[in-house]
Amino acid sequence: MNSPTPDPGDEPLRRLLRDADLKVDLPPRFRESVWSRIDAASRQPSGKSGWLEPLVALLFRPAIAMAGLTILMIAGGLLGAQSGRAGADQEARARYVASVSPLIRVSAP
Amino acid sequence: MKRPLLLLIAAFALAGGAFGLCYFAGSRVCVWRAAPQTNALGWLQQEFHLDAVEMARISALHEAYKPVCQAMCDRLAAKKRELVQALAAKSGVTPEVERSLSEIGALRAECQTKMLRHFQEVARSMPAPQGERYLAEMERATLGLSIGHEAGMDMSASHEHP
Repeated sequence: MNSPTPDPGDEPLRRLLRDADLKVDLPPRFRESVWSRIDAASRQPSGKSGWLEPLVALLFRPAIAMAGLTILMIAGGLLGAQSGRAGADQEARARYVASVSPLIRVSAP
Repeated sequence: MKRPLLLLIAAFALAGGAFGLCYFAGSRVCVWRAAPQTNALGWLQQEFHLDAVEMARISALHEAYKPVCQAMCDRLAAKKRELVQALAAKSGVTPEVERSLSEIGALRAECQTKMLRHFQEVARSMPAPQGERYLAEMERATLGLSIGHEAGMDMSASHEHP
């Protein structure tokens, strides 16, 4: 981990903190620890979740989520219907063929 | 870091589930709607776009053919039972097995001849293009013509037995 590097522009804040009448004893290296946490927090978004969070935020927008779900459901229903129709047609055809062919009827289990 | 990934996985799972559910429902609805077509001739009417007059003619042919078909079924089943009994003796290819096989062969040929006659009669009861398509399809489905390994055979290749 990098050592914390206080911004020189924060001098007024540091002076204010120094001059403040602190009533509590801070743990050792408190300030460094605070800066190190701030530093770590500021680095996090540039990691792997950099693209993931915006993507999730986009997908979870009500309009987009509803549209996506609707499209998927319609596509599923249509593909299912197509497959069911083909299966039913094959079954009906096989039924007719079996009704006219003794060879198929006798060899069927 | 993990939370967006989990949300994304959950979203994909939900989407996949919704798609699968609709696919299943769509498929079931189609099968259910086709169920009233339990009559074997229903497929024929739908597939070959036959009108009521053509269907009446074909229904009559079908009804007349049914007992013929049933009689052939019974004779074929009886001959097959004889063959199974002859083979159960495990005495190899006896004259009885041989006779049974040749009788089954003759019966199959008789069946195929009667079927073909029926198919031709039915085909003549349809408009010509549908009749031709029906005949071709029935020959393919019941006589094994143009399908299976025979169709894919390279007849020019040499064929030797050891």
